[in-house]
Amino acid sequence: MNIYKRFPTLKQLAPVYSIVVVVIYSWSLLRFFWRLPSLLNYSTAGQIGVVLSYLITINLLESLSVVFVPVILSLILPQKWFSERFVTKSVLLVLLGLGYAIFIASHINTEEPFPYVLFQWAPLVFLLIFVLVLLLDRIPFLTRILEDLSDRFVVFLFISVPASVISLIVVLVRNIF
Amino acid sequence: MSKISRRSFLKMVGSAAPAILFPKASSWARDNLRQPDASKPNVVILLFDAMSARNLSVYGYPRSTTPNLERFAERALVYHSHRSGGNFTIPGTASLLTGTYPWTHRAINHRGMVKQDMVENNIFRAVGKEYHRLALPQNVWANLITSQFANDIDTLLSPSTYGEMDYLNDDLFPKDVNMATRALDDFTFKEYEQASLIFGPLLSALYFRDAARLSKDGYPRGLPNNENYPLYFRLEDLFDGLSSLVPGLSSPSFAYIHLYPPHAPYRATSRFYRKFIDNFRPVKKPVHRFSGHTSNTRLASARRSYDEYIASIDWEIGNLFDTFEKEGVFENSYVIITADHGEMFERGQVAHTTSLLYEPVMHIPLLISVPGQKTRRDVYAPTNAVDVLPTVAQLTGNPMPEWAEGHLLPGLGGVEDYERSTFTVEAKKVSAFAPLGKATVAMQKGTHKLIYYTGYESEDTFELYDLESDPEELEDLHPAQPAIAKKLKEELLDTFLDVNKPYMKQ
Repeated sequence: MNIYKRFPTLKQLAPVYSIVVVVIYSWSLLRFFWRLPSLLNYSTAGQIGVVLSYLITINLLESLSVVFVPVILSLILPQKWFSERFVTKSVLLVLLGLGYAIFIASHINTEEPFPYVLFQWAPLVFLLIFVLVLLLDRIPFLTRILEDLSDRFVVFLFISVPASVISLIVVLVRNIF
Repeated sequence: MSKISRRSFLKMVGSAAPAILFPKASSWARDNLRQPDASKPNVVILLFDAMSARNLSVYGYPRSTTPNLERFAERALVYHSHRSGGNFTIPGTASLLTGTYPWTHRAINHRGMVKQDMVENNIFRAVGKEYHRLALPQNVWANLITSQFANDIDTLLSPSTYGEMDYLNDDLFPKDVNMATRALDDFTFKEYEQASLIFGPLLSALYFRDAARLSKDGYPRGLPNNENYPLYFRLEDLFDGLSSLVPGLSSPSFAYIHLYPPHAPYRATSRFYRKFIDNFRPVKKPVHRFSGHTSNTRLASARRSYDEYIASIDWEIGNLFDTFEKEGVFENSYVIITADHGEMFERGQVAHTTSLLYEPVMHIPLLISVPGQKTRRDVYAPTNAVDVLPTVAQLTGNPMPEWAEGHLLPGLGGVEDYERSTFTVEAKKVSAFAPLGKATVAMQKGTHKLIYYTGYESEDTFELYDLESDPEELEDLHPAQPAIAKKLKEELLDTFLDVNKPYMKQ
C-alpha cells in the first residue's frame, strides 16, 4: 500500500495539533504570566516580547515534535489500528501523553531529589496509554467527545500559528543580523 | 606657516581621498586595522563572587584563610576601605562594569538589567578597541549583566567554560547571548519551575543524571556548583584553565574574569575541610529586626564552611600566581583582585540576600598589582567598586568617561580623599523604573557610616557608626551624636532625592 495515502491530511492533523498547542502553550504561558510581575520590574516591553518569542519558538518546536508521534504511528501501524480513526485516537494519545508530561513537570518543580521514578515508569505508562488508544473504538461516547473537543480547539490555531511565526522570525532576526 | 612640499601634498590628497569617498570604510579601517600596541600593559580583573574582606586574613581576619593573598599583597596596592556598589551579584557587578551606583544603572532587582540607554557606558567600551577584551562571567547572574555589553566584548566565554557539564544554551546564540540566557537558561529550561513542558523535563532528567555521576573526589561537601543553574565545577580545573588563559592573552588585553566561588554553596576541598574547627569566636552582635533570624549555631557553621571554602580557593590562587610569576604576567599586567559583594554571618543573617548593609556584606577586597611592582602599599581612604572603571580607563590610556561616578583610585592616578562620600545601595524589591521607595542605602564619609532604611516600616530609620573606633558596628551613634547624624543625613537624603527625581511622576 502506498505510504503517502496513510499520511494524515491537513484536515485530520489540524484538530490533533490544536490539542497539542493548547496544552503546551498554556503550560508555558501560565509560567510566563507567573514570572511577568518580576519581569515588569526590570524589563522593557520589547525585552519581555523577546523572552516571550523565545518561549513560543520553543513551544513551536515542542508541539511539532509531539504531533510527529501520532503521524509516525499512523504510518507504521496497521491501518485499522490507528489511521482509520486518526483524529480521535491521536487526540486521546496526545492528551494522555501530555497529561503525563504535566504530572512529571509539576513534580520536577516541587521535588528534590529529582523524581527519576516517574521517568522509569514512563515506558509502562506509554504502553498503557497505547492500549487505551487501541481500545477507543469500543467506547463510542468518548470518541464523540474527543471529536467535538478537537473540532472546537482548532480555533486556537488561528492565534498560535501567527504568534509562532512572528516569534520564530524575531528569534531568527536577532540571531542572524 | 610651514611650507608643504609637492610630495607631502600628493601624500595628503592620496590619504584623504579614500576617507572622503568611503567614509564608513575609512572609520572601520581606523578602528579595526589599527596595529595593537604591545607595549601597553594588560589588565586582568579577577573577581570572586561573594568574597567578604572581613573573612580574609589579608585584611586581618583571625583565621588564616588567605596566606597566598597575603603573599600577593606584598607586591600590590592594598585598599583597606573598599566597598561594593550593591549587596548581591546583579547590582554589585553592574556598578563595577558601568562605574555607576545602582540608583543610576538601575540593575537593582534579581535578574535586573542595566538600563538600556546606559548599556554603551561600560568598562569594555571605556578600555577601547585597541585592547582585546575578554570576559568570563562564571556566575550566570553575572553573565546576565556582562552579556549586555557583548557588542563591546571581543571574546565572551560561557559560564560553563572550565565546568564539569554544559547544559546552558547561551553559547548557542552568540549574537543574542543576553536575551537567550534570560529567556532559555533563566526561564524556559530553568532547573526548577521550567516554562517548557516537553524539552525542559527531558533536559532536567539528563542534567540530574549526569550531575549524580560526577566524581566528588576531593570535595567532602560535594562539588562546587552554581546554586540556581546546571553548572558544576572543580576549583582545580577552573584555576588550571585560568593558568593557561591569562598568560596566553595577546598584548594588549583586558580580561574580566568573574569567578563563582566563594559564593554558596560553600564546598571546601578535602585539604581544608574541617580546617577551622577552632576556638575562634566572632564578636557577638544583636539580631537585627530585618534579618532572617538564623540561629547562632547555623551562623557559626556556615561561617566555618565559608572560611574553609575561601582557604581552598586561596590555595588555588597561590598556584595561579606561581604560574603568573613564571610566565611573566606580573611584569606586563595590572592584576586586580576584588569581589562584587561580601557575605555575612551575624545579627541573625546568613549570606547576602538581605536588606542589611553591614560591613561584612559590603566591605570587599581590592588588591592591585602594578606591572613590575615589588613592594606593598596600603591605602586606607574609602573607595568603591565604581572607582574601578575610571581607573582601568586611565590605565589603558583612555580618558576618564564623563558618565562615570567613580574617582581614580589612590595610587593609580587618584588621591586619598577621606572626606569623599561613597554609597552602597540595596533596592531589590522595587521597580527599576520607579523611585526607590523601599531601599537601604549605606553612605560612608570619613570614618563614619550612615545606614538609611526607607519603605520597610511606617517611618524611615537611620543607624550611624564610627568605623574607626567601632569597626564591628556595635554602637549606633545616631541618637548620641545628633550634629554628625544631621549633617550626614542631609547629604544622604539630598543625594537620594536627586537620584529619584528622574523617576518621579510630574
